Amino acid sequence: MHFLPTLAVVIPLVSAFFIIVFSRSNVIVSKIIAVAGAILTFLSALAMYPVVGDGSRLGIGTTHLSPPLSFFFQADALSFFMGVVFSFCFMLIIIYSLGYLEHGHAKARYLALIIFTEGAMLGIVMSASLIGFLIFFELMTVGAYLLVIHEEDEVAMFAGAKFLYMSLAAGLCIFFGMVITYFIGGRLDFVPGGYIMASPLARYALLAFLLGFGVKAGMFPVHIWLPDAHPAAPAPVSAMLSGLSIKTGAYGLIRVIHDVYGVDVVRSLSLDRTLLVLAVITILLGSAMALQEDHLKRRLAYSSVAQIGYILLGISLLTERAMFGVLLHIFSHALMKGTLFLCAGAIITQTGKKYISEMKGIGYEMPVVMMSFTLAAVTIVGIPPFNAFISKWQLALASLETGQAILVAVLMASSLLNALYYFPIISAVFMPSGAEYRKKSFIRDKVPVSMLWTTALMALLCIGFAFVQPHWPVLVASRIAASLF
Amino acid sequence: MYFTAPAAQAMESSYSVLPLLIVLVPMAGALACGLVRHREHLCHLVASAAAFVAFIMSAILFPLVKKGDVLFAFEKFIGLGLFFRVDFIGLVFALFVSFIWFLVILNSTSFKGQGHSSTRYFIFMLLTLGGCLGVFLTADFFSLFLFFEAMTLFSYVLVVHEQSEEALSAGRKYLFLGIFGGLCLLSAILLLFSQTGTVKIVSSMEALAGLGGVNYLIAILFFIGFGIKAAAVPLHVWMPRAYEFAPSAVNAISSAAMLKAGAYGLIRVYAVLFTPHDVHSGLWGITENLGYAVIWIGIVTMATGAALALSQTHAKRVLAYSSISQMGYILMGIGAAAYLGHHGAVSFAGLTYHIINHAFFKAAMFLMIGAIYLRTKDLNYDRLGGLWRSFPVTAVAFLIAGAAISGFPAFNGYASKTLLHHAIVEALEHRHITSLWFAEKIFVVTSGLTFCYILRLFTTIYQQVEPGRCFTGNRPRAAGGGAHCQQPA
Repeated sequence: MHFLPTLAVVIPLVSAFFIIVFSRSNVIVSKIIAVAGAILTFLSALAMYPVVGDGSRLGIGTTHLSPPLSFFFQADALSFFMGVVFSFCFMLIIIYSLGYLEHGHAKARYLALIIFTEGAMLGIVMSASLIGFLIFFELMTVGAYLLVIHEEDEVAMFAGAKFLYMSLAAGLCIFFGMVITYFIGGRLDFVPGGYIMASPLARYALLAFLLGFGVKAGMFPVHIWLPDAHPAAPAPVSAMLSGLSIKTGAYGLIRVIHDVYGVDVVRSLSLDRTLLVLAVITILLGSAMALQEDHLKRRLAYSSVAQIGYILLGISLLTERAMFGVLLHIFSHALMKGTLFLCAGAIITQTGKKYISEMKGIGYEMPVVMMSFTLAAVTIVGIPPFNAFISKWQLALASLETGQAILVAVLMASSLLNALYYFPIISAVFMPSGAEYRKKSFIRDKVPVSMLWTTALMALLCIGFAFVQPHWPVLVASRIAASLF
Repeated sequence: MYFTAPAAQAMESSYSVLPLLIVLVPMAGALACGLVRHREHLCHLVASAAAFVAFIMSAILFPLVKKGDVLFAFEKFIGLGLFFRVDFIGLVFALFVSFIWFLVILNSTSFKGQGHSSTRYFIFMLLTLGGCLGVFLTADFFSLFLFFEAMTLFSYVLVVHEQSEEALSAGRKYLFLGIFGGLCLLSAILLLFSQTGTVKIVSSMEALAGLGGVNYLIAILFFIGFGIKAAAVPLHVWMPRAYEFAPSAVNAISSAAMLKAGAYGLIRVYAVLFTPHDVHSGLWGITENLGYAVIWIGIVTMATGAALALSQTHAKRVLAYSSISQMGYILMGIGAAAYLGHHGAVSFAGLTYHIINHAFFKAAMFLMIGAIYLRTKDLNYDRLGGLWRSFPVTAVAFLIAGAAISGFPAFNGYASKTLLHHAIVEALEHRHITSLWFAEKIFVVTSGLTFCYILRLFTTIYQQVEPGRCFTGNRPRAAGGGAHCQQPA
């Protein structure tokens, strides 16, 4: 059992290796390896549940590199939670990619890179120390960069360059923080409750971590790579970036705040106030910018910025209920944003349309895809009884508990703004103006089967996890929240 | 209600799955409609049947509710639980709403033959019915909020049914104001939950009184949330345009049922939540303050609605402002019920009776206007006239409904308006506050204005106002009647 975290990281990396080395020219074999690798990774992540479910940790270490550079894989409940969410969404994204790539180029390269990025992301969540975190963080940057520039046109190259340089800078910020942490504390691993004492030097380290993880998470003011990179990348890669990759930034923040520095230290250095202010600005700015975008994927990218603001808000509140809301939101946003980007990809594949103003009435040509879009959009606005309502409710209650009622107003305003930029899309797609549309009938979508089914499945899961609770994400999340406080 | 509290406590509650079924049957009907969408007559039949079954189930609940509240709990629902509790108030609302909805769906024969949009109409009519009935049957504010949001979202599709530019823009205003109201409601529920630990619909003044300014904030947020739906002035701004461009059947259910859902929410907040448990408690003072504010909002609403109704030139806008005005009566009643506290029986009776009456006569008027629209395709005052020849039965029915809405003796509107008048007089005599004397006078003047605009509506549509100006319509039989009419130039 203890090898499961390592297995979860090694399987995708090995699959990537196999694709590149052995089957570069044979696309069918690459596809099989990629899908098999994704499914096996998901299963190995899921298999950790029985042990991790009751709070213990799984892991093996390697002492082949001398400390402090030794890294080992360890999974506690938080790693398990993130790992399962990541591997599940990756599985669906890779199956979707099989259909998406039908008219694409460099398929083997794409598949190798996407499964390599999965390995890197799982390495991030499964590593037990900051050094492992950083190594896999940089690997993820490389993988994601090569995926962003997959289309190899000018827009993609520019977006990719922006993404690469900012992510490298983020890595350097994290390295800076890491160095100071090692200097103060003498160790780099994650210990529940933290072990660094407060000091001015610690403040600089925390600021550096905030900046580094903030770049990855898309926090204001370093979110500027997001609205370029997400639209330029192919749709499944955007789904991965928005749904999963930005959560690694949030994960890093959670680890540093809870397992390296400790909640009291962070509070005494008032880094939580800084994060709170930045999170509020991120929420409002993301929603406001999304309102004026006509390009669908850019609008979804700004929406991701706003949603990650919710997560950062929850992290900064430093209470158990807020953390519960954060973890639930990580889970539900991965599903919702994944669905939305996969729908955007389906729209581009069938109709080639990228701008919302061109999309009048396409609900009649692609009903399944647009119904999935509707379900995900309704969920993301935070309407009960769907998923994201619960996380929003918990975050709002947590804000009231800490006596900051103004944050409730921020969350409500953000919900209204979300409705303002999602509902007109649904309305234009299904009920466009013009009497000639009233007589139209629905015809089946003309997208490849794998794309259709994965999109629909993700949308159904958005609402499927809503009605009956508590279910396992809620149980695991509440246990994690309790253990962190 | 709390003036019958001693009797209520002797009753026993029962458990039944009926409340959940009453909500689910229309939704199942919507699904069935979707499945038979290619056979339109079947779709209409299924929709009418689903609404009828919902009505029958509400009727079945009656003997159960007589013995005590009917409860049903679904605790695992999204971690917060879905709780139903049907008491007499909720049952009465559910009964007349489901009945009127059934009649409106039965009436909707003109919606067939429009491609997929007719199926869409029936499906969303049923879904909105489910949401609306759910509002009346719930036990706590969170479940109420859930069904309230569902009702708002599903009714958007009905408002934009025509898919014209104006309908879409009116629908957009309706939707976003509705969502804004829903978010205000959610904030109020959050504040309530975090301060008192529960969101059940019970009298909680003891818990709320200690909060100081926050309980006024909760009251205001609840008012904004429900008031947008109940068309309280100044939150009514979505109504006139939404009514003008939505189909008449949608206006009928909106006036009859959805406005009442907002009023129901306000009743639950101001006459239940913000009342103390103990009849002799000193906390009734806060309830009085809130009630006084709501009385005045009701007075302003009724006067504004009536004055604006008198100046409109489009038949549906007149009726929209008329609904706003009548909702003002109801709001005033809610305020008076809270103001008078446990002496508020007459006010409560008046407002509930007026809700039922208004549902019937306003739904009737909108359906009649809908029939007229089918023939004349235009509802502007300067294009209508002399229709009593083409629509004799409708004219008589309109006279009856108009007399009821104006409060003619021997019609139902008379009884409810008199009760409401008694309520405002009692409120005046409760503490002899001068402003309530003015309120009573405004009430009387508005009732007069109501008669004026109804009379104007009637004469414009049905009577021949000027010689030579009338609309003969498409009936071939009208050829003889058209001899003394000229078409407008």
